Amino acid sequence: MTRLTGTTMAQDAPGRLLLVLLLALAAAAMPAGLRAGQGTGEPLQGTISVWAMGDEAMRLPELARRFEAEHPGTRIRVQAIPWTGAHQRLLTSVAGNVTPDVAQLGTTWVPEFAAMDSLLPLEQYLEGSDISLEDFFEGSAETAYFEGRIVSIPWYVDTRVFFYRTDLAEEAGWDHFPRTWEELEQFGADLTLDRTGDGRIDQYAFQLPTRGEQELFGFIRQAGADLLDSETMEVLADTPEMTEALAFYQSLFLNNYTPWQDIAALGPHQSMARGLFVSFISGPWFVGIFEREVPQLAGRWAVAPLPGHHRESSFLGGSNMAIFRGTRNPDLAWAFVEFLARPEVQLQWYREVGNLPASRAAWEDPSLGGDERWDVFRRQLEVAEPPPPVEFYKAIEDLLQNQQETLILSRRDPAEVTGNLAAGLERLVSLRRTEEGNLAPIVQTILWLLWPLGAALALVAFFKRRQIAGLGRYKTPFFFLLPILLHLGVFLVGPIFASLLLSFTNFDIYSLGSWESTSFIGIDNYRLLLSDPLVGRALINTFYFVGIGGPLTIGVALALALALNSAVLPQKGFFRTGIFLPVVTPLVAVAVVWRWIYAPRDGILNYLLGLVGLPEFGWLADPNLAMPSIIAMSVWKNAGFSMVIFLAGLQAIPRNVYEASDIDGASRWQTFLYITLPMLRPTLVFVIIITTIGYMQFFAEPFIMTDQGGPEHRTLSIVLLLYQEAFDFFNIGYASAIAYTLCVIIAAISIIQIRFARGEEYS
Amino acid sequence: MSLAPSPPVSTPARAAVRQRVREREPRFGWRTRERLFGVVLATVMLIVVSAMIGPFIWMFVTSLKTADQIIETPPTLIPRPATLQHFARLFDELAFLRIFLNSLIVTTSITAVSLFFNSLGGYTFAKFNFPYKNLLFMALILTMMVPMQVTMLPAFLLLKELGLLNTYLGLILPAMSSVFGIFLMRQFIYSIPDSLIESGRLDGCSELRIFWSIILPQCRPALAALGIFTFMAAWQDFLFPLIILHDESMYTLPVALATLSGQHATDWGLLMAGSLVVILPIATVFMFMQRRFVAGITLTGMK
Repeated sequence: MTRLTGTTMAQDAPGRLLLVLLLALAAAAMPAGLRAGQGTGEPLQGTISVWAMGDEAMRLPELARRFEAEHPGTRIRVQAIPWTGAHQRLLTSVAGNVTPDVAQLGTTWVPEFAAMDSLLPLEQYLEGSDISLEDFFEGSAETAYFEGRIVSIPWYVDTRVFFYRTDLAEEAGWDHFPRTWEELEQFGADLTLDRTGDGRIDQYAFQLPTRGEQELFGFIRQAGADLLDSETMEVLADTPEMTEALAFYQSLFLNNYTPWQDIAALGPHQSMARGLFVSFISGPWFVGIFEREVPQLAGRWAVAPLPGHHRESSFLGGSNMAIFRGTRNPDLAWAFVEFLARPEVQLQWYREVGNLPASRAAWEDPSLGGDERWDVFRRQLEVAEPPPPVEFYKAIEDLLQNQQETLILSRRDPAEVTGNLAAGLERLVSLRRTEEGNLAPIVQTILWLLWPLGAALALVAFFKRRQIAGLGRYKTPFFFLLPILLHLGVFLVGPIFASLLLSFTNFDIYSLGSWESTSFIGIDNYRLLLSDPLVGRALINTFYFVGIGGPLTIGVALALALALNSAVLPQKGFFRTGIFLPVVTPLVAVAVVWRWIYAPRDGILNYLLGLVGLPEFGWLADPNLAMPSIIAMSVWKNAGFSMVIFLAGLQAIPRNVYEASDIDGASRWQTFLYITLPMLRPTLVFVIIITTIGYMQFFAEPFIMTDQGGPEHRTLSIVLLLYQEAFDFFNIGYASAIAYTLCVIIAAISIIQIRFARGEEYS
Repeated sequence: MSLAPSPPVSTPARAAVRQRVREREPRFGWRTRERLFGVVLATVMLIVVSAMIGPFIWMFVTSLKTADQIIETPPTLIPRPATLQHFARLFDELAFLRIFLNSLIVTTSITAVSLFFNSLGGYTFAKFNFPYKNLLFMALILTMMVPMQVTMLPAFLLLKELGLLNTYLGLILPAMSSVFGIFLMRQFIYSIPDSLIESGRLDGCSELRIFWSIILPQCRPALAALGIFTFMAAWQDFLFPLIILHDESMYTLPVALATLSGQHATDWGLLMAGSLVVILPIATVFMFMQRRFVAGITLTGMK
């Protein structure tokens, strides 16, 4: 593997004029030199910062205090990073070279950050240490490596097992959970029941995801199939075993042993408690959830290892601890990482937050060993495997999920899906960067060209000084706009210009490792996106959303504003506030409620429709209904926003105009058509343009409602796509190209809108 | 916009109608229809508003439920027993006062400063003429079409270079003015009669004085709307503060709340309690500001 590594040195940025672009590149090029600081025998001292994720970080300070007590004079500053957005936060901090000393990294993130050359290799520290990678579960130890180097230390692990209802299984004569695929099939046939005899299944044997690569990964490995060899980068997916795994997974759906969509509103345990399905696959965190949230089920559920086929396997995940190259105190950083890996500390961590120790020795403790459930997890961990440790794993994840969806929702032939999967993997491998880039000399050339350009401008200004002096009468607008234009120029136009330039480069994670590897690639990104089927799909979806959702939102908002402006409506303050509430309600809360409304089986909407005898609809899970469902939700959420603007606009219409029309005996409709609407025109123009621009960039709704754009990409929007490219895969160049394509489209639409509006506005 | 007084109406019938309008007294006949319309309208609005408030109520109820009550199907309306444990956790695990102050400082600064600059910009574009005005304005509108997702990284690097990472100023400065705000204010300032500005100039007001004392009071409804939008956006912003603020003591409310969530398990009660804490200040601001929607131009536009 010939990726450019190691040779990065502090680059002297050759100028400051293309400030932002240069910063993006130069910052990435300046990781602190590798430090060889192994055991000088001096006592540890100083301070390090540790980034940990989510609620786990809330408990980590307790361990840090214990460490500090062992090493007086040291200080561990733990920063909690929300899981949501943790990836962006880490990526930007690497880009800006403001990394912490130590960070918790999800096991599948390790290769990515190692590929950016941002992690400190740890072999030399491990040599003289009490801990060794052999202390950990085999699969867990594998996640410590990237390209043969040890770049992280396992912290905690998780794996996937089956959770199932023992009472329902026993009722059908099963005293154990299936151990093989054949048994699993039989279990499916025995436990999938139509109890009420109305032709509708009331009890499914399983609940398996249509987009869940971790569950699918288990089946793939059990069949003996694999994705790719992370050392040789050889794609191994195109095998009969892969087809076998996919066919088996598909058959569970085709036989209706599992529902075709996620039918639970708030997590599978509640539906399982009600007997809607007998089993599902999940991780260790669900043990606590079961105990806390469905106590009535105690003694009637259990966990079981995933059934084997040609071999046994499951997905292995978890988190590792890594030291960033930028650290100023590698000795202390290592001491802390080492401390966290000690069996007794791992055990303490398990007791406090319930995360499973990666260290095998910790499992010898009676608090873990005695429990039957943890025994299942332990057995599963012995055979569980991490996915291939490659820096583009996020893209593989996405590929797997997409193929999984076509396999199930489109009932595609498994052999064909195998082919697509292999082809997709080949493409991802081919995208890896291997040669020197040409961006650095080009940027330097541009910088040199800026001098004559500046000189030319100065010359023009000199010869046109008379005309410039004549501009004195525009003094007021000039000084009014000056601060604003300066501000927008720096904070808006600057970044826009930088990202526009980036759209002509192949800026990606490799650029963060060494920016010399970045190339100016002309319009290649734009050419690529023309042939990207996802871009086409996302464009269609976006137009669908804007075309239907835009007018609907504006119409509803206008109607509401008119009603609120009507003289006869009492309690206006109450109504105004009520209608505005959805606008302020955070989307996470909105999403929960609307998922409940749309849930296919227990959902409020289907319940109401059932009362009038209508069948069950899939709503968000149905490829054809997903977008209308999203639109309905968006109208509900956003109408209040435009309504406020309309209200303000309606207030600008003088009362006497209405009185005049009243006197003339105009009907309500005539008043609206001939007085309100024309007078409201500037407001209407504004709302239409803003709504179009905002809706063309819609993103949050599918992001949280439909698992990032499903089903089958029917709710994938352009901005969601570019967000995934930018922050999941860090293809900043390509993402920027998508953004500017979208920008041109919106601009075209807006210009048409403004043309139509012009007459009145400028008169 | 017509500023001339309405021409005198001579027909007796019209005069009678006008009389009723003037008096604003409910009468039988014509007024009954008006009242009926009011009742129908209020009923329809009541239905609409309950649909709007429904999820909010659910959120409130959920924040008071214990974990096992929350996932009950069908959901119950009354929490039994009601618990304050989720709110207690918010205050226990977060340095709540500090975080709330962080959010308050950043949000109010952004709102105050940007209202001034945006209305100044809107006024300039609406009421002044200068070369390339429309071109410049179109260029600004064009910038709105660039999704912030791609400009975020360069903006972050810029703030880093300016030494503004992990500071209030790093959040406030980029939001000092916005194209959205300038555009909104421009559309409203259009409808303010030029004669008002002219009379100000004749009275010898300075240009800034005209803006401050004549224009600003005229666009209170728009300022109220923009103020609410700005406050709301800044108060709820998550991604930008997340990457700018590197120190937990600087976290704003949405960022701090998000740290309480686990990777896999979602504590719904905590999430809803947190959401409520985020919403309440905005809802309060809205309730106060919305009264402004009915003030302003109504009186002065027809003087």
